[in-house]
Amino acid sequence: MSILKKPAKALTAEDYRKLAKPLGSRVPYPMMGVGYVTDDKGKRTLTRFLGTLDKPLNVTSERDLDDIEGTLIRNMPTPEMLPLFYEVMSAMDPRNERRAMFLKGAPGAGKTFLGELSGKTISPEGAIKVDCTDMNLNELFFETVLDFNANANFYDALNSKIEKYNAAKTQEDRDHIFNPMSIDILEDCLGDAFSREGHKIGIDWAGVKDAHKDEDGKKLDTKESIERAIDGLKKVSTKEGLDKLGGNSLGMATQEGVAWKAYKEGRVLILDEVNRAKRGTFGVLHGWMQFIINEIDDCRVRNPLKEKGDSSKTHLHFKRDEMASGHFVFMTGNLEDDSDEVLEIPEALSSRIVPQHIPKATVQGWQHRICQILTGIPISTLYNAQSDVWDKNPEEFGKKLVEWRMLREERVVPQHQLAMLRRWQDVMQATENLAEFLDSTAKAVDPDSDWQKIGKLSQLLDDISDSFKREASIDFRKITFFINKAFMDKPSVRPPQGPGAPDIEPLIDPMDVTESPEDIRRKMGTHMTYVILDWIISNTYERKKDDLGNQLMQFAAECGIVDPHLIEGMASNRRTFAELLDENPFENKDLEGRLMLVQDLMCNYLRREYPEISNDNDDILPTSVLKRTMEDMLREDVAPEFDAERNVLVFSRDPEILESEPLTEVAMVEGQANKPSLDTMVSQYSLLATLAAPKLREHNLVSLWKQTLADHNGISKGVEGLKDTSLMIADNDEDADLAMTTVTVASDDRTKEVPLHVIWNKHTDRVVVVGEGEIDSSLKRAFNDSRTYYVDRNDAEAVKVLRSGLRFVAGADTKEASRDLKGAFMMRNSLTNGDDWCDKRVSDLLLSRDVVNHKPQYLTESIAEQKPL
Amino acid sequence: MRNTDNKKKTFRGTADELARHMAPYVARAKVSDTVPYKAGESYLYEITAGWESDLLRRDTDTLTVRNGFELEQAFFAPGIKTIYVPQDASITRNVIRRVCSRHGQGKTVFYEVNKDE
Repeated sequence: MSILKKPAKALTAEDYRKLAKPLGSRVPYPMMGVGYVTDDKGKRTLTRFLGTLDKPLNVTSERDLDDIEGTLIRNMPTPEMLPLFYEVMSAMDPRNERRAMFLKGAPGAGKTFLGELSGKTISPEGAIKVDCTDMNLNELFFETVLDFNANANFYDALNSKIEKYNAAKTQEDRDHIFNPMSIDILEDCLGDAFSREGHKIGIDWAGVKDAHKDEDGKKLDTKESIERAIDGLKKVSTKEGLDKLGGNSLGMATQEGVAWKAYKEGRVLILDEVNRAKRGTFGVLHGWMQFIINEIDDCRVRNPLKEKGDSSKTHLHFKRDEMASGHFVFMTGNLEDDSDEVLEIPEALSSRIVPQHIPKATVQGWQHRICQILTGIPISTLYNAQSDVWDKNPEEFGKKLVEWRMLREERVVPQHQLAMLRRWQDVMQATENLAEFLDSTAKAVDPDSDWQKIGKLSQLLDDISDSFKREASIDFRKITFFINKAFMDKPSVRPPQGPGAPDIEPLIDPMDVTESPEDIRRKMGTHMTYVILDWIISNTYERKKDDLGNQLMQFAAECGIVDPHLIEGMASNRRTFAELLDENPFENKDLEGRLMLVQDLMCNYLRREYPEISNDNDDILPTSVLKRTMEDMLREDVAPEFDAERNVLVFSRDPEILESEPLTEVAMVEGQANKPSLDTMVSQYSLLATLAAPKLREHNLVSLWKQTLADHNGISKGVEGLKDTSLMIADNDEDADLAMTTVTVASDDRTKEVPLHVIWNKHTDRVVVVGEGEIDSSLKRAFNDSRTYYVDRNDAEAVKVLRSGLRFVAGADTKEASRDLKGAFMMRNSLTNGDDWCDKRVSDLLLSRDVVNHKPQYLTESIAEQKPL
Repeated sequence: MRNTDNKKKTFRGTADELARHMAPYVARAKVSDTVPYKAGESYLYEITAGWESDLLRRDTDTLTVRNGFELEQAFFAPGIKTIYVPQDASITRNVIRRVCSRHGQGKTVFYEVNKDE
């Protein structure tokens, strides 16, 4: 027998020992403390601080400690709620005779969450939760249900018919199985418990009792709902010929409600939104609540549903000596000024169980919940509670996060969560940005917030009516709303860009077109940004609340949700939310996932180069070989060799040596005098393919700037301390975010030279390449995944595509970047038609055919000695 | 490091047997590469019919349910952690979400959908 089903008086010392689980004894558990904290300057201040439990908290539970640690780390309350959590956990001890708590707070503040957490901590069955909105509270004790047992034949037959109906291929077949009117009747009589999905129908039988609402949208009593259901089911029974199976005598049953069930089974009972229950029904709680908080030792609750001939009990008799020791009642409620529908709890009740208020969310709280929803674990709080420890060993923290995420997790853990935990630093930064934005927005749209009270945003008050506040309010539930929406595909729409029209920033870059749920998952940051901007626009500008819209956009820019360049006068080098949260395959330490893509790329390339190859990818180049090569490149003892030479590496063209040497070193030679033959020149495709390969990309990008212009090309490096920005870009100077160069390669059919212009933003690791000819779909896909933007100068839309690409690589601040890029471009190129390049746009120069490369660099497979320039 | 997987099993056998043993885990790993819908404490993964769905369904740790009654019952069985809802079951997304939201236990529900959906 479960220990928690025993009455408290029957518990032995051994039972208590088994129930007490020391939280914080093996896994450091964050907790808020109060005390003196010394800052960097040695000043001591009395404050509330986040640390870890110094002494374990004894949690009452029948689950084992691993289970509890896993559950409580994943579902940890926000930092501001941790003291309340401590209190709740302490209150669950069977020795505590007051078995109830009442938590009040704003919607979405985490009241129910705390109740549910206590329920699942104490026992594997979890809490029993009842939504009390519009509920007749008598139904906590007695409720009406469909009598499935007495009419089993009828329900079996009906379910069997529904199954056949769902399996039918045509509407004609479906109409033979069910009279179409019967389906309409079922839909009507079963209310919300009935649902359709295409041609399929489904019924949530256990939910029928709560399935109907009245004309004002208020929930009907279970008895009324069940009566409606029975009325309809009888009609269906007649139409479908199920009368003989008992369809005519369908009935309802009165059974003990959840209050009795929780009392007998030792479960936590959550009365959610109790102060929104049906007016005039609170009376039934008085005696029972006195019993729960140990003012009286027993109480009787009368059955108001009892009718003549009804076999149900006349009353329920609650007795202290029989109450299961795990039983606890959580009541949650909104604040009275939240809505007219929130009732004031009668004083006789509220004076007995004084409500405790849920603290308002802080930025730390927001970040905690965002991390929890995104990754399944509150990274930020776990880090902040012991930042000194984790700063010394960030990799260990990443490993611990994965270990804790998986600790006794019985559900299938989404892969994207594990991927995010491995790059927790980016996720920390991204979630901090989002937390700041949501915290500011919550204050801006709430006329009762501190900011509004002190007049910080008083100009916005006209935009915020009561109804607007209700619709657009920001609470923790919005995080789930944004994330769920972000996982849905969005249309990628290019704004109109007619001749002479100013450039308009698309909300979502063409590079981010999604193809599958996996693609969306990888670009989670971009998708969330889209969803947030969409929310701002639909809630402000489209509702003629421009001031509020501008303010929220300002917040979004300040917090890095949108590129700050989009907001006039703002500039920032910090990575945006999207850049931080999107998965960058080249930062992924787990190479496995990328190897297949590289294998596919390289094999396609080899098949094109050698049409006689018809083998499968694994026969041409096993991933094990590829993996070994990549790992070799990552090894520290190999890296310096690459650094010293900085030679570009491409995939081998010779199948004979492919297995032993998948990568070949090629040379970069300068000047016309060293121009290699087209046969030995590296082809455009073979260089481009390497830009989609993990690590190889970074190595090659650095190597492309091996030959610098400064000093040895007759170009001055600049006066001491004053560097020319264009030269810095042309030479890939460490102080410049952007780098630009031109290298000459052979066309893929090796019939001509192709100047390849490459622009690299090292800060965001985005690349734009201007080349010649279309690229195949596998390379396109790989480029999509690797933040590489390819522009075919022969493409009729090349100008538009390149302008978009320049915004992609250089950010929205294209005016300044454009001037610097033009300067960098002209250091290796010149115009043959005598035009003044200063008047041209950088996109025109990059696509122009009147450009000659006066300081050419060639990539060649022949590593011969270079002739002097 | 402590053992964090209470379901970990040891295995000795031929390569074929090993593959058969591993297959459901591989299928779960593949399906979990998509993003689940969270209803209550449960994760709802939508999958299309294929080798993954076949393996998940055949896994002895998985309970297949065909209607709302059976789905409800599955939530009263603490031993059942994974529930499979075949495409032809009389259960809609709405029913799954309602039932999952009502119960405090976190289960993994695989819902088989048409490729066209």
